[in-house]
Amino acid sequence: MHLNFKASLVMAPLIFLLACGNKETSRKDVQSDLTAAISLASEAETFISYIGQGRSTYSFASGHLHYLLNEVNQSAQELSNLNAPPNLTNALNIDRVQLRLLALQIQNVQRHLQQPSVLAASEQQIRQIRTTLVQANSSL
Amino acid sequence: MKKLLGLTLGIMTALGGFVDFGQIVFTTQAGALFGYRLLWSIALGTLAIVVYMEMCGRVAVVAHEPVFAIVRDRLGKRLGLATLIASNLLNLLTCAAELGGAAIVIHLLTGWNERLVLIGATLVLIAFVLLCRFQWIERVFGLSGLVMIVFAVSAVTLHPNWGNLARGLLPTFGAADSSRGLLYAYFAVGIFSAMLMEYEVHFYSSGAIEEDWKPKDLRENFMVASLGSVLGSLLTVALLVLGALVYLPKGIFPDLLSTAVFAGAFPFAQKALVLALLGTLVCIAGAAIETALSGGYNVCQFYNLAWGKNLPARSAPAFASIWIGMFALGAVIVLAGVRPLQLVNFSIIFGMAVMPFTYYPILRMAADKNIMGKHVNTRFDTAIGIGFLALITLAAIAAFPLMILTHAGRP
Repeated sequence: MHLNFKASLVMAPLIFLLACGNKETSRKDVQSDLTAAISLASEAETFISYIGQGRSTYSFASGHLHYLLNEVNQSAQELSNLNAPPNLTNALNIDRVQLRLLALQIQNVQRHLQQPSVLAASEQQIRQIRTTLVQANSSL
Repeated sequence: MKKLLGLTLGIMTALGGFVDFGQIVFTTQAGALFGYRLLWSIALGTLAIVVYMEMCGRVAVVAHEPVFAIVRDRLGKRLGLATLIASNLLNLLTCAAELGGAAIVIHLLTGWNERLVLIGATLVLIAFVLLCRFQWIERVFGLSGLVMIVFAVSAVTLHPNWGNLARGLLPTFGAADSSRGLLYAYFAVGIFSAMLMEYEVHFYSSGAIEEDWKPKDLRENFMVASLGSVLGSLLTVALLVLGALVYLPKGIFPDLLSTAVFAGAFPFAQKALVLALLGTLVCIAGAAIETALSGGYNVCQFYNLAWGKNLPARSAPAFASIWIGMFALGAVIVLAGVRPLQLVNFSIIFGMAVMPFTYYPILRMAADKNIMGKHVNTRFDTAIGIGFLALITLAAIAAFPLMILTHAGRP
């Protein structure tokens, strides 16, 4: 009994902390996911502009885009498992769709790394994706 | 010239400790989230590591006692063993993360397959450490790590606001919302912890014994510890500034090693990018060597077994097997699919929890007049040491709850 009491003293704060770390999808969580998506889009836009100016090496460009694409796909995968209450569904759907579009744009850039016109067009598309995500975030 | 080359121990220790995979990403993230507001944490961490590095170097020279012999004597066998296990687990995780980081950088430099590169890089590092004397390891990694200065050049080129930067030396409290405040605290603790990673003092004190420092070298001990740490700290500040100038205005949260390296070359073009990659590679590989060797040092010092990089492997078989094993196991962990950055985040916070058990015995030993004689701590040294130990303990207590509450630093 004494041991159980001691164990519960130790476990209680841990359980509390774990509970804090594993909340249901809330407005804050969706905002956090949108912020992460905006960050990815902004990074892709910045980096593609850098490549377009001929300032990156080929290996770095293709390697970094590969890692960036993995991040985008992982975020999209995490979002697909989320269930949001009705008032957040729209924002969550925008996030999902825009991340998928972002992944397509990054793949496009990966295939045309040495074509400035494709890079410029993709940069423009990604700017649009970022703007949509920013709007969804500020509407929450 | 010999004295100048002696500085390389401090430089390699500090670069491997301050500018390793974890610190590169973590500090850039801190800058991208809070601008210069966490500069004080870097300054505090630098002062703390200079104080303790000097102390453990002095103890190693005067008492011929490296860190883990002190831990065993001062903490007792049971607590000492627990500290040994925790420290070496931490060394293993960090070594794995650094090997994974080195593979990423080589992939970014060459485009070669990352998994093959990981295996190749691990074998090359093992061969290099096997073939080279300790002095050559520290010289090669200490001097070539200076290529990282490209990050500082980039930061200065982007014209930071020096006034705001100076204001960052004072902590600011009272964030707009509580989650932002927790995030600020998490990054403050993480930066402080990353600058005080235990393997730095394990490596430094063992290095002082490997290099056969004598009491007459004690003045240089302070110089080596402080110059190396100040250089490492300036590069860390550069990373924070780059995060603040390149990523904060664009709302980018740098979550990849390649994103942090990209900031290091942002104002320039291809040559700077290659230099940034090479500098990062050297620092990360240096950190992998530090952690692997520290693993061997710790066990052998704790159990009083023969150790020393300058001894033939046959004369110190346990030492050689352990550090080679650390490299091999580290590579296996990454090959198993664990993401190096996940390892890094965990090791920084886990490291904080173990820290008091490493630094407390050093402080007690350095303040013991019976052992240290005329080289004992002054009252000022001890007071500063106690102050930093109190901070380390506070940070250790806060580390895990902060990691959970902030989802490991998610903005």
